[in-house]
Amino acid sequence: MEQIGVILLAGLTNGSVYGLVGLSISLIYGTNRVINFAQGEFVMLGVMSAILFMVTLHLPTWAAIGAILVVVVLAALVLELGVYQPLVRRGAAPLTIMIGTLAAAIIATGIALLIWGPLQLAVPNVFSLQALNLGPLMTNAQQLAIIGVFAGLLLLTWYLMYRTSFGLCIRATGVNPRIASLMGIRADRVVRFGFVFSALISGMVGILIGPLLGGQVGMGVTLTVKGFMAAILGGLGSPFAAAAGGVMIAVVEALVAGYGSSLYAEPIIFSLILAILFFRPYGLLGDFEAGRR
Amino acid sequence: MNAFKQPAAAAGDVMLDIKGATMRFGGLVAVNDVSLQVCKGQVYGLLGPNGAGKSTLFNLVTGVLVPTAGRIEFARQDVSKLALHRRSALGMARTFQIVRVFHGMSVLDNVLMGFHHTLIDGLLPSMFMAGRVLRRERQLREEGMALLAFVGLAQRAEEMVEHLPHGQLRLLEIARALASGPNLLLLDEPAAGLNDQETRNLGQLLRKLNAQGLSIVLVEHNIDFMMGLCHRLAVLDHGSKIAEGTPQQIQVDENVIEAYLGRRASHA
Amino acid sequence: MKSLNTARSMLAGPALILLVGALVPLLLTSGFHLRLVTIICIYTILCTGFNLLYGYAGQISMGQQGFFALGAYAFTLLMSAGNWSFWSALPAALLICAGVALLIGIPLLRLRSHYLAMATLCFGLVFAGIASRWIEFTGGTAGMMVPSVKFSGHIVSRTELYYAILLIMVLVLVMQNFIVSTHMGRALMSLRGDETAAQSLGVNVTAWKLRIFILSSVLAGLAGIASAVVNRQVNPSFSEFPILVSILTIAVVGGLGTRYGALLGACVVVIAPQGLAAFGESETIIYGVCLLLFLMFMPHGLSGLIPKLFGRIRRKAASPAPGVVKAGEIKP
Repeated sequence: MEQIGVILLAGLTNGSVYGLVGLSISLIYGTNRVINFAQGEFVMLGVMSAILFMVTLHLPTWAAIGAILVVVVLAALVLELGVYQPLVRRGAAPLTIMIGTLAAAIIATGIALLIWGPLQLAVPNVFSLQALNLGPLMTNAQQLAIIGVFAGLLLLTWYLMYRTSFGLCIRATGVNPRIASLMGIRADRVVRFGFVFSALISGMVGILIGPLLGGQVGMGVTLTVKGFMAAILGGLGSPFAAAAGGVMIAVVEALVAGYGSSLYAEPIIFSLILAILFFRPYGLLGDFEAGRR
Repeated sequence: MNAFKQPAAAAGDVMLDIKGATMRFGGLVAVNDVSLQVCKGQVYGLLGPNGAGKSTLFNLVTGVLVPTAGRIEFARQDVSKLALHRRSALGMARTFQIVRVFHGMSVLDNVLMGFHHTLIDGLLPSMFMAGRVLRRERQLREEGMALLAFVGLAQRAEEMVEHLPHGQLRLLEIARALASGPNLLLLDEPAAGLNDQETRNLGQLLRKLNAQGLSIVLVEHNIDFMMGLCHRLAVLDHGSKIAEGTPQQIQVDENVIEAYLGRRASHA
Repeated sequence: MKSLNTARSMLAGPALILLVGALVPLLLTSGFHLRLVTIICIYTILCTGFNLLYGYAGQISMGQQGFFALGAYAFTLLMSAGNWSFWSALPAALLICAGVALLIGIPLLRLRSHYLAMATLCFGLVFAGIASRWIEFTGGTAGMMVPSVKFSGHIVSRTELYYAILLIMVLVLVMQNFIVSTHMGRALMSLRGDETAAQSLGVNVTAWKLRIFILSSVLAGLAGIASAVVNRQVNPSFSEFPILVSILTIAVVGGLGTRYGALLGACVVVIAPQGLAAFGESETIIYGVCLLLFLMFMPHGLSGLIPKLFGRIRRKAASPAPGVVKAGEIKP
């Protein structure tokens, strides 16, 4: 009984991370039908710049957090202005743009490698890592903060999308970008917002997950792939379905690792997703895309 | 008026038989219990105001949509649920409302796509019969060139399709459809976006094809074009068939006049 | 006549490549250079499959490194643990690649093309995870030794191995040319455009996507086996991200959807690092930047330059240019 509690908590923590990356990918996809292969790199940038600002430069925590978020927003703008826009202007297909974002991810990893080297680095924690007893469960403030931020960001995204007029623009662009732009919605602004907002989310994920995962410049790809898996499992069409998909993946992962061996976790999840896609092509919770191929 | 002799449409010559086709999208009934028969050798037109359900009916016949109720038979075979890619082998070929050619390929290669269903399917079988594939490929090029010459595009055969103007793309689509050796040619607004001269040429081309025995079903807005070309017309309004007959009958049909003129009077 | 032309255009390029390739060992003195040329051949086999899949059919797999490694591991395990002979292990390993591609492809290829991209990338990572952590079976990060290939007691030398791989590469190129110059190539190209139009012309879209995905996976497996035999070992790095980066860079720099883009790209990606000092550290950045610049400014890659070059020469000769120069399409 105790073990399942521990497993579920671990699943929820990792699930928050996968879910937020999945949500970010799905947000951008919703605005422009492009899969951002560099999403995990935003998390990596968050983690690595936390080391830079907190350890190397000794900034106070609040200033460091601000600086980290500035870094990821700048990176998002570079991606949008330097990769996405030029390719769109040249009439590139979404698949080509996707490869473009992958190229950006490769470049980001390469630059990070020059700055931080290939080794795994310790990342300072914002919240205490002191063991905390929560009933029968052992946890710590950092873990709880991740789950809290996950809930908070979900709520914020929901509020933005369903309670503001800008959110209406986002949703309209998601349904049909061409018609939305005919109705006077500045699709380019919506897309830029998608990049910046999702980078902010990923940056925050980076700050929180760094102390638990450690910082390594190659960590982005794994996170991107986990985010994809979350998004496909839940349904690429909706950010919230993607977030739910992330939690599902992480819980399964934790269950397999807890009761079997972590070696089986990834193959099992992969096979599971293939099987689910066979029966529900648009994800467990999504039928948003069903009519559009 | 109609330069053609009425085809000897015996009951046994029914090529396309639509039996009570109905298509619902949620609460909207786009096509409501439409039945009609197209006989061999006929040019059959579907007319109707915007939103009358012509395109939906066309999509049911071509297999892009599966009817909610009713049957569609082609050559006495139920094709209501037949996969899209199995239809060309039965002798159905179509063109699209918005031209759909394959970019990045030459004009000739686009036409050759039409022969696809007659060729060896699959990578391994083709490789085992490489000699036959290559010989057939040579024949195809000749046949494809003949088709391009027929629609008047022979001199552009080696160009990329991106370089062709809209009117020529329409002809290319027809040549491609003809390559599949159809018994029935389905045309979705073939005159859309063509100028008068191009429309006249298109009409002549379709007459020539019909004279060679090809049956044609077309959806079109251009009433003059339809009246001069079709042996038989059906008029749809609000998803239902409101009239059917020869162009002469349709022109004086009261339901049709009301659907067109009545609407024009109240909306325009 | 035209069929003769088709046959000639299918065979002329590969024949020339075979000729040049056969002379190379006579010109090279060091074993290191021979090894580089062998690697070029291996990358060409790998990327020819990827080019058919992405360049021609518009479907992208980011798990080719997984199949590369799968072929190598399956072959090695069958030979060493299973004690199979070379001639039974080779086709069996390729069949395993085809089978796995089939299993992955069936659920994914009905969906939009980015699903394939994402899920195959996941396959690559899953495979890398298994390869490095299932130690008792795969040897973990250290990998496994590959027994040297023997035929009736004679151990195949480096040079002989090179000739064998060169021959395989040339045959792969002939097969590719055959595919792209017939109805198969047209069917593949119709997939990257309009699927409804392709279907209404009788192209079984899902089946063709599956076929080409399987073929490209088998070619990746073949390249993996060649790589295992040449390196005398397999290890998890076969399935890791840098291989995917190389594949993408080779395909995009060489020219997507062109016949000799894979070979051209492989030459550049294998030879260029030799000339650049301190390439090692910034290799990733250089590959990424090249990838991005080519995507933006030269979508037809280096191969795209060739017809332009011919066009310029023809114009300089002051003869009225017959027809329009086709950008990106090389039809020698």
